[in-house]
Amino acid sequence: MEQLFNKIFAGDNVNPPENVKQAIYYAFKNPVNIDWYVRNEIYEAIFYDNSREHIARINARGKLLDYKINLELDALPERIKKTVESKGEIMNVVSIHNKKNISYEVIIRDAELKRYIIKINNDGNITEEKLL
Amino acid sequence: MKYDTLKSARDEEIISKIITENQVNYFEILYGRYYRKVLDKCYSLLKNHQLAKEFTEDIFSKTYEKLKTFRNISSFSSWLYSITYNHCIDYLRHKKKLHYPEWNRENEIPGIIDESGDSPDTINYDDLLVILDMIHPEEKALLTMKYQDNISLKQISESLRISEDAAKMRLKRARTRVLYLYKEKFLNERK
Repeated sequence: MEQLFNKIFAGDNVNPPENVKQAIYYAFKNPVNIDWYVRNEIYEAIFYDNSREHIARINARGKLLDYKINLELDALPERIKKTVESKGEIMNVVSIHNKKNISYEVIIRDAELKRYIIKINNDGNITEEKLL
Repeated sequence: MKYDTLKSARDEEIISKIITENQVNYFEILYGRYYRKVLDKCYSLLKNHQLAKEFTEDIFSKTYEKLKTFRNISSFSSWLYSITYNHCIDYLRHKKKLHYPEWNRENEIPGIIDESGDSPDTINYDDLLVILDMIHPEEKALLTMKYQDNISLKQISESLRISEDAAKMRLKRARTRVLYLYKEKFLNERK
């Protein structure tokens, strides 16, 4: 149990190179409480900016590849909200930002409480839908 | 290999024997090894002794039925605990109308502050147990899966039926909430 509490407070202890750390401060206004992870030489920062959880992926050269924001459920653009709400109740919304565009990853649950993940582009077209 | 010899064998070895030799009784060894741990996890989420016992039996039945699908990608214990959390959280969502987004909206963390280097010097573990019971069962499950049971984020997301990114973000929020509540309830009160 002691181990659990220490880990909750300490988090994960990846220490990325300085150029990777700086990429976060360059790209975001006020990133706080940054936790770092690394997989296949891609660094992942999980942090708060403007009180919302963010995940940013940065390569070893310090280039921001993409980032995701955990949105309020009602923050979806209306046309997208309408499409996903026709399939069920919205349970989680993440926006995905890369160099070219914005898309969304939405978790919904239907009347039988089955949960689905829906990926939808900014035009409101569903690109992926699967049962969780 | 005889039953008594197998008692000290690794979980994976026992599973292999159950499957290849169709020795159903070997499952008792795994049951004995993990019964208490599964029961404790069920109780920590359900807060009902009778229900926790019933769920523990259900979880072992479910695990036995699914044993052939166990792939050694994770340890047997991680796999068993994933089934445990999934079973309990699904029940709470369905029967107790557990609704995480609604709860999260009503229990918003007021103003995220920079916590770097701000962990408490000393942690009172009884106090922290109180905090873990104040947070939402889904957040509690996330924290214990990740930091107590070392279950991978992929398994956590599958078990809680959320995406891997949602699991990471909720985990972040859960840690922030525990730290915030701990400070509010115990550290600030003592000042």
